Amino acid sequence: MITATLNGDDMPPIEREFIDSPVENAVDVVTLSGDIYTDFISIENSWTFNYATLTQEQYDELRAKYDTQFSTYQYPTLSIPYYEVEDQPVRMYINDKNIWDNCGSVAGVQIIFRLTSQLPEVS
Amino acid sequence: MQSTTLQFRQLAAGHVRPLSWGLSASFDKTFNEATTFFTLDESVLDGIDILAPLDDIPIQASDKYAYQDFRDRVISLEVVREETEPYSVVQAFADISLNNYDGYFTPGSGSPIDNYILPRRPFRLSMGFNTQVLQQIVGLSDDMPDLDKVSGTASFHVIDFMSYLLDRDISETVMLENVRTHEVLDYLLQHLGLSEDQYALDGSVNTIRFFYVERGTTFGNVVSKLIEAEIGAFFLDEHGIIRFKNRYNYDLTPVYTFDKSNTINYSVGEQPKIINSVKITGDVREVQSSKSVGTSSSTPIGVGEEIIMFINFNDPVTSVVDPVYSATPISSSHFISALNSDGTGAYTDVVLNDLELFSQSAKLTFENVGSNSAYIAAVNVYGTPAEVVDTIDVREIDQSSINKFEEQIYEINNEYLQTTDNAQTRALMLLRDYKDYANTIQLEVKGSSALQMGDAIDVDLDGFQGVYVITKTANILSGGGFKQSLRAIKKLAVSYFVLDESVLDGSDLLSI
Repeated sequence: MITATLNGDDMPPIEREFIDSPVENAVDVVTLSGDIYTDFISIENSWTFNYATLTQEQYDELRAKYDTQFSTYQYPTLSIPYYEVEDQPVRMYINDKNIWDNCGSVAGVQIIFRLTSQLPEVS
Repeated sequence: MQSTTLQFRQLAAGHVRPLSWGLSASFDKTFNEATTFFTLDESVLDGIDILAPLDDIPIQASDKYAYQDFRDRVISLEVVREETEPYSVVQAFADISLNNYDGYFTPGSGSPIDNYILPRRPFRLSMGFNTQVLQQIVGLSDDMPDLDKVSGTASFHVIDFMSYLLDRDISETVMLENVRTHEVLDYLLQHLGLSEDQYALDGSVNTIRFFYVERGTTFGNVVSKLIEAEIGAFFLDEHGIIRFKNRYNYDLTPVYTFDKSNTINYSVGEQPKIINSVKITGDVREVQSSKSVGTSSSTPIGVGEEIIMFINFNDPVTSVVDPVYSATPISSSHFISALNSDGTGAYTDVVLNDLELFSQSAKLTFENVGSNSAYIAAVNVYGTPAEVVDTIDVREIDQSSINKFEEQIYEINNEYLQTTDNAQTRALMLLRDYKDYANTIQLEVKGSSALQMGDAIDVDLDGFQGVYVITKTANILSGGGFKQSLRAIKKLAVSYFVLDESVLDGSDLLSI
């Protein structure tokens, strides 16, 4: 089973889908002869966590981490031991909140993490 | 074309091209005299020493700033080098967009470089493939960064050192006799504060009998005329070295071929327009032997009075002889002082205390040391004027082009075109290069950052075949791709007239 931590806290267990997507920082160019070539800078990873339902507490905890990107100006750090990813900065996205019961549970939650390198220390 | 490795050339032409780039800047402008080229087993990794390019290029002053690496902050880079056609002075600029998520480039943000976020910061920028990057420009930011809060970016516009140089004023009037173009450039570049290792000048073809430029003239105005007359090229290369190439120093052997397999788009170039009629005028000056260059009318001067008198010259004058007292007119530099305004009543107590020569005037300071009011009845200053000794007036046309496109006139007034033959050569070269439609082409290509201005390329596209010479490059790294736009002009090899070899009235051009 794939487990992950975000800023050192365990992510809710994956019960529905976990998608590993390559993200190309590259451009395909077609020449007049119809040939193609690729200008390539890097290939990065993106992971998508899909949850059928999360409790209100679970959702709020994730949402708070999402929000801190814009208050601390820092990306959260993600660890996924299966992929040997350890405390890597990630751009975090979260889909629209869909509350489906009176307890505040949230349905169909999708969290996407786009891996990136930490910027170097500046002096 | 900049020197590259085989691997670089293979990557540039390959299916998957791993792009790489470099960007460094020196915001605090700290100068590190100890900088040298990187030496294996001696230099420190990530230390001050820089990697030497493959070309044999010395360390430049601009290399010695203590640069900070900003490669990881780059969002996009664009470097444009462009020749001012039809005469060949090249300028370059770069637009740089950087990640400013943390306000590092924002003044007043508490950034570590807060006090140094100012205009005119040195930047160095390079582009290439995989592990080899080639320097594209070294220059100064022209202004404060343009900050975009929403996108979190800071943008800098960087202009190469040449552009600053061309805008500089020449701070003294310069008069030189019988000098060649490269000697004038050498003089002016040193006058502007450059040292000899900062430029490389070919020996020039053109000799100027009298070179004259007034104080306050911008260097760019002078250089464009010199290069126009020389039919050469003047530019700052990618490594920051100023170069002058004479008309013979070019190679039409193509360094790259562009056909449909590596061209993305192309069109007829908009600039420059067609030229099929050239009119060239100019006054040729030469320094004459001493003669009268200026006079003044009668001026009263009181007892003990000191007066300053300016005498204007019709032509620039390189030297004058101090006027001496004379009771009557003589055929050398003199002044007549007298009791009467008509020069009668000799009076010897007026003395010339000082004479200051400007290029087209002289300032004379007289004093009456006697006991009578008097007149400086006449002053006649002798000197060596640079007079117009020849007038160039050349007109050349290409009738077949005029028949097609109507007359498209290009006029040149250039005092450094010293002979009719040289002017004719200039006119014929202009006609050759610009008389036809589609002589210039705009290409968007799967290019290489090694391509340079002046490189010959072989073009094989519908309607465009043959050897072209690059007159503009735009290298853009953005959105994960490298885009190269080129402007090139069709060139035919020029044969200059050679005695006992060329045919009279043949196609060879006179080179004087």
